[in-house]
Amino acid sequence: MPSRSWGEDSEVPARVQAELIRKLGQYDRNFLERARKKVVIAIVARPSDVDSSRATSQMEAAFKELGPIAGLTHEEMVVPWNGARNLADLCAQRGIAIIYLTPGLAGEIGALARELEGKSVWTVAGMSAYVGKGAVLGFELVSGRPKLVINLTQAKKQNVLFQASVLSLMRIVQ
Amino acid sequence: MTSRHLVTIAVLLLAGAYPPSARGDDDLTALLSEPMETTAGKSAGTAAAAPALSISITAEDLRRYGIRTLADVYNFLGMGLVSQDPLGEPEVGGRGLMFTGDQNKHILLLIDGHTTNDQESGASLHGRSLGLPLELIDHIEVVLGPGSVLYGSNAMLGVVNLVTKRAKDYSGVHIIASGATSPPMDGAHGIVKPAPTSQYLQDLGREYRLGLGGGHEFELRGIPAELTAQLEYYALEGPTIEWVPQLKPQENFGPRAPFGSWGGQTRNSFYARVPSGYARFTVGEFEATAHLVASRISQPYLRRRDQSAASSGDFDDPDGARARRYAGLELKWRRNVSTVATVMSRLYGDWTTNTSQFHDHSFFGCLNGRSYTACTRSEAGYARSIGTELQWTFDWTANGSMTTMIGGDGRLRQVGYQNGSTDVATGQSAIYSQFNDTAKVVAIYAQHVYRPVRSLTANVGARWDVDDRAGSRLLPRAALIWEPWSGGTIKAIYSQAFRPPTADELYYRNPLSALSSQGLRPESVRSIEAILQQRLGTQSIVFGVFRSWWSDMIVQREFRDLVGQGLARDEGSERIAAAKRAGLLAPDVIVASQYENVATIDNFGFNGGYDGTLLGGRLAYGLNLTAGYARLNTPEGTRRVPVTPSMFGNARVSYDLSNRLPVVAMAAHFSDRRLSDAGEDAHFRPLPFAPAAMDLRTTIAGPFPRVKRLTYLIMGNYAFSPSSPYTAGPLSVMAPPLLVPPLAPTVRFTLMFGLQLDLHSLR
Repeated sequence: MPSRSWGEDSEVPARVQAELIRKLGQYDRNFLERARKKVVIAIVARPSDVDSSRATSQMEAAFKELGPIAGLTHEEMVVPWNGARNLADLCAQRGIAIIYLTPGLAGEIGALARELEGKSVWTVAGMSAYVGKGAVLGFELVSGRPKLVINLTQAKKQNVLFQASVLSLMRIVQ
Repeated sequence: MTSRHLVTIAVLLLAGAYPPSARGDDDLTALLSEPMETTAGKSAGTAAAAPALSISITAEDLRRYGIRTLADVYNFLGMGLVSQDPLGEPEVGGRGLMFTGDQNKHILLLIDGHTTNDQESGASLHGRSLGLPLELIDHIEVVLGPGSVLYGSNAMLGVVNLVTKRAKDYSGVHIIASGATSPPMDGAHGIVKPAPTSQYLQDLGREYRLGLGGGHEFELRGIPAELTAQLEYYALEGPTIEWVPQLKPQENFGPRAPFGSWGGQTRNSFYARVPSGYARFTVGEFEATAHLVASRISQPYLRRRDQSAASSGDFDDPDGARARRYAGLELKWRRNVSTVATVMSRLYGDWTTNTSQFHDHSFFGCLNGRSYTACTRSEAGYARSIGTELQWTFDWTANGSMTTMIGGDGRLRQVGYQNGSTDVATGQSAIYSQFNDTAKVVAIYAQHVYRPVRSLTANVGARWDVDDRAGSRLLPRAALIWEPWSGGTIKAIYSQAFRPPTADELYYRNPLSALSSQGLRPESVRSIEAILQQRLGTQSIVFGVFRSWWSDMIVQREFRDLVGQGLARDEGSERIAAAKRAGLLAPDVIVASQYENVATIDNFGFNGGYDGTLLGGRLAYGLNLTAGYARLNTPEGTRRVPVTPSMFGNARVSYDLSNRLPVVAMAAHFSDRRLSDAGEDAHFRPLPFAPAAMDLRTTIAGPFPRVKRLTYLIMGNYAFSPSSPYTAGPLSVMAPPLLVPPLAPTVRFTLMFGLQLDLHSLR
């Protein structure tokens, strides 16, 4: 049954999130190997959820304005949520490097995290609460400044390896 | 020093602090240190893209520099705003302007977007009586310049928005205890030399603050919810202050001063008690906030504006105090209704009572006409208001390149006021002025943001305000924001703001001293501004110039009828005579005041600021400077604006020693000399000025050794200037010619120690 997002909204504007993702790309030691020639970004949406649809539109537009990520061109695709297994399969088929999770998926993240274990992919969410549930990376505002949140345990499981200097800038969730 | 010199210095500092080799990780660090802002445009975005000069101050800085009040924030961390402490509620001004005695009604103060300005007087509170625990503040957004386009009245000098923490950033239970002490001061405003006597200990100023708060995230029937709240109690017993006697042979200043002399030591009249609480509860799309404050604050002297020729108040009056009770409630709902549209609505209400009193043993006696009988002069006011706002935002292209905001806001308010006297001996009382007023304010506003290319944003908006007290008014704003190169932003802004007359200004009358006003209009201000901001890695510089025109300023003019003393008839004597004939003034009145729209103000100047971090953020520093020229044009002539420093600023540096070692910080605030609150119209020659001032503050904050979850803070603050720009005592009102009136002292030194215990989990 589809869950409602109940006003879930990212605190950090979409443009800033996209820019942070772009800059972070150069600090993941496995990013180039994962993306190969082009960074494929899947924006996962729950079509029945307005918050999700809105975030999808904003992030898609923000990614389109973005320059190269870690020196590679990028391509965005919107993926309607159709179960964790299907999304994990799609990652393998399409060589997805970044999964961006929009609101309304809080109840699905645990299952998705399990499906993505052993695969090399970022799962990024605009809401930091999603990181505690199993997303690798999230954003929050603290003292009016954007902050990065990382689930280090899940990051290791998904072969995400940030440099120590960048980890020192992140709030770590185990 | 000219503005060109300042820019040159700032650029050199930027270049030196940011060598090209540092660019690696700093790109990311720079983006993470870029402040986000919601106040200026009522939507989230970077401060650099806001349609105003916006400054964001973090919770970390508040703690790092031992900040205790908002007034501290402006002086030590802020740009463009400055505060002065009359040993009571601080006064705040900005960019060369401060309206002493206006109760800060030219600044709009918000907490989580909720207006806290008093609905009776328009006053905003920036000291302890605000009653918002500092630990709850996530960050402070200060938007300089007129901001009525989205916020309506009072946003003339600027808008200050206090954004409180989310539960995740204040999770668990927090217990706060802090205490501070200040040494007694002698008649020359110097610090009394410490002595091992019980009297010295009694003369020390003491203050303490206790707080209990926390944050908790949970689910309510499957819906995400969170609660953040804190209760606090603050108490101050100010230091003993020696006041040089002011002789007025026929006057009695009460039981704590010798007959005919105002002065000695104040031991009973410098205190404050402020219990308060704030809570924010969020469930799904709903958010509710509640703010409760009950303050009682006493100053050790009566301000000049509160005295009259016939009444200077008792010296060291322990019962002379201002008390305020306030409750503010708000319920907000926000929903994305489609991929382009968002709706926000809120219902809000405020309830306030204000009372003040002082005792007076005047030569003129109280109500029985006998000299020196004790009298209690009192004021009481109340305000109740309820309002609602509905706002729609359309992000037409879903990428922020074309957004439209439209909204409507309506408020109904009821206010009342009365003042009078009570004869202490007989209990007989008289009311001099009394009014009740119900008024409604309705407004619609719109803002359109268009970003044709990534580097250029146009922001235009307007607000149509219809106010029962002020008529209708259109308030436009236009801003052009250009990002010509990486990290650089150039802004050009035109904006307007207004303030309707308060009920007090409209209706106050006193048959012994004041005539009611006749058809007051709202005050208004127009402003143009140009701003250059540049961010290079973790270094940031901002420089802006502004010019503003203030009109219809409401001034309390004083008229004298000195015909009986042989002087010729003039406007004042004619006006008083007419009022007496109409029965509006008592027959023996020779001095009376009246509020009028008579003044205009020319104001221009610049703001400059530079801040940054090095060594991975462990070394942080900043420097701000503001200079403003302002002249008040009244029928009596062109005047300097009292109490206002024409140049002020601050500098700060802190270093985080890390590894459970503390953060050490030092901050300084400086301002040039300030004309006293007696202004230029009083007959003091030479004009009384408070000297240039500098406050220096050192703070050490860190984890308490060997005790987990306990942190400490030690702060010492030293004021180099002995005097504030506030005149004190009866000579401030009726001094013999050529006598310079005494200025009230500053609190020269404060030492504070605080502890915070963070219990991170409720479970």
